[in-house]
Amino acid sequence: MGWDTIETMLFSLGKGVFVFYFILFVLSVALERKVSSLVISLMVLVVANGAMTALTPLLYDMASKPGLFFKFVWYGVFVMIDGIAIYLLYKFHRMLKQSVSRVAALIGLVFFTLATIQTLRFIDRFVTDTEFFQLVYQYGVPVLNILLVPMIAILWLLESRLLMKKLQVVTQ
Amino acid sequence: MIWLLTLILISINLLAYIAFSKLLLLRSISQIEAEVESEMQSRAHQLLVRRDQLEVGLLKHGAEHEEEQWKGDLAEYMEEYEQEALLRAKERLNRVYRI
Repeated sequence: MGWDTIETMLFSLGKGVFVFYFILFVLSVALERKVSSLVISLMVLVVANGAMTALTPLLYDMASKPGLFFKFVWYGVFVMIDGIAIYLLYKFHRMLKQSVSRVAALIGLVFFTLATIQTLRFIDRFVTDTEFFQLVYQYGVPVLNILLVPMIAILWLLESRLLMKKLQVVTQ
Repeated sequence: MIWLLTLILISINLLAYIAFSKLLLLRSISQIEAEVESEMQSRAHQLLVRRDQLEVGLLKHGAEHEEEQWKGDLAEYMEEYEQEALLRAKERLNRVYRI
């Protein structure tokens, strides 16, 4: 498999990753059957990623126009959505009095990393006029989004097993 | 202009970091609470098992002494539970409100 094929797959998967998030969210609602940290985290992920996916064409049109402000809007909107998503994760956990699971911490970390990549790329491109973060931005964002799917699934399984073990210890 | 836009972007990023650190703090509090809860649950379970044994007369030998011991352990458990709840409210939850 050539690099071009991998690159094409990476970008098409990156665009369609919302579908995987949505499937995970529906599965979590069906299997958990109650409000939990996992359900909250996946709901926030789906909403934030959905908003970004919906806004991307509009932002792309704006960013294509000449002028620094339009470029800023492209980066700024993504950083803002990432920040709002982390705030919502925190707020919902507190409002619904839920323990923060590993999945929630992971999703929070990914949102923060994505926001930082956006900020660094803006500085890299328009302030320092270097291209240090060009590759990190180009490949890092889709790779992080795609890797999040198996990582959530693995952590979900691990936490379910730990919970079962704890329940066994208590009822023994 | 460029500096102002950069400053705005860094500020939003900083706010995202603050929200993330609050989430992590909430996680550490949740972990402590879960550990305490699990320990207290296990102790409550043991107390209930001993109560059952007393009631069905499995511990006939020195039953009165066992009864007294059980009551003492229950009182200790209740006191610790109350203290733990107060400690959590004072020390841990306040940290979230402060940030």
